[in-house]
Amino acid sequence: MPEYLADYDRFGLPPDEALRRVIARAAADPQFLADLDALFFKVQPMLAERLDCEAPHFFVMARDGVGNAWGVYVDPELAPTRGTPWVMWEHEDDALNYVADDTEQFFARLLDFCAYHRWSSAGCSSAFPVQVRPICSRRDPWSGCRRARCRPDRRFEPGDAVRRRPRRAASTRRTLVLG
Amino acid sequence: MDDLRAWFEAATAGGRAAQPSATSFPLAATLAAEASIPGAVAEARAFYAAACFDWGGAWVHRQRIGSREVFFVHVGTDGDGGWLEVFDDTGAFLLAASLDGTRLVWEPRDVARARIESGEPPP
Repeated sequence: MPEYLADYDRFGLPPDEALRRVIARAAADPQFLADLDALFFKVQPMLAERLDCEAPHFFVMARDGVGNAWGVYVDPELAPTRGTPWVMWEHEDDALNYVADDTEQFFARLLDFCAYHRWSSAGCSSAFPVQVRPICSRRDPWSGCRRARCRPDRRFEPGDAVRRRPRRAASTRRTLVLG
Repeated sequence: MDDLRAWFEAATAGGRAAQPSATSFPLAATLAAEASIPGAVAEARAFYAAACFDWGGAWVHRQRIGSREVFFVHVGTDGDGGWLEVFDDTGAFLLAASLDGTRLVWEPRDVARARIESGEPPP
């Protein structure tokens, strides 16, 4: 049985029972793991540095299978006021992108994205349909962050909403998140 | 085997087969139930999953082609490169291919797998 739960617990993150249940079941139920895998959510909690992502507050929960990673952003200084959002690390741009406020919202959006946009006969295959904003990027002079000092920015403002990105023709480049 | 080759060549024609697609190859509807996957097929998936750990992923599909039921491992990546391994319904290896952009190139399995390490595209 994979040691996903032990790996997750070793992070010592703030309690998130919903996420912990998902990881526990993924470790114990091969079909559940495969079902998540089919959603481009390849469960494997790990430190971001294992993927050469130098964002110490980003904790990887899964890879998407094409080079990017999903996880939670936990900055102890900011978490009490700004929460611990789900983000995606987009490897091409080496940027963390906000995805959802919490675990329930994240999986709802993942299911929506995969069930309707990616795998439907009408959907597009390579554009992430959710409007996301980079919360840090080493190439973003506005945030002024370095990779090792990544900090969230305005995504935490109240009223932030995820908007649909207009459907577009399939890209020739496989990129899930467009910041 | 020609019928199998022809089916995969037709299924991948015109697309970038290293990238999972909603409308072409491989379709999510053919993802295999985990309990049905033979050990050898699961091993192939595990090989690619480990080899492409941070730049790709492997999925097992089950497909009826003519009178045959086959499993195939599809390896997608963040670029043009990908791989395909085809097995019969008992898990016996049948075919391997390297994917390169819109091309599908049938190759010996060891040759195809070696391209992961070498990074060399198929001829």
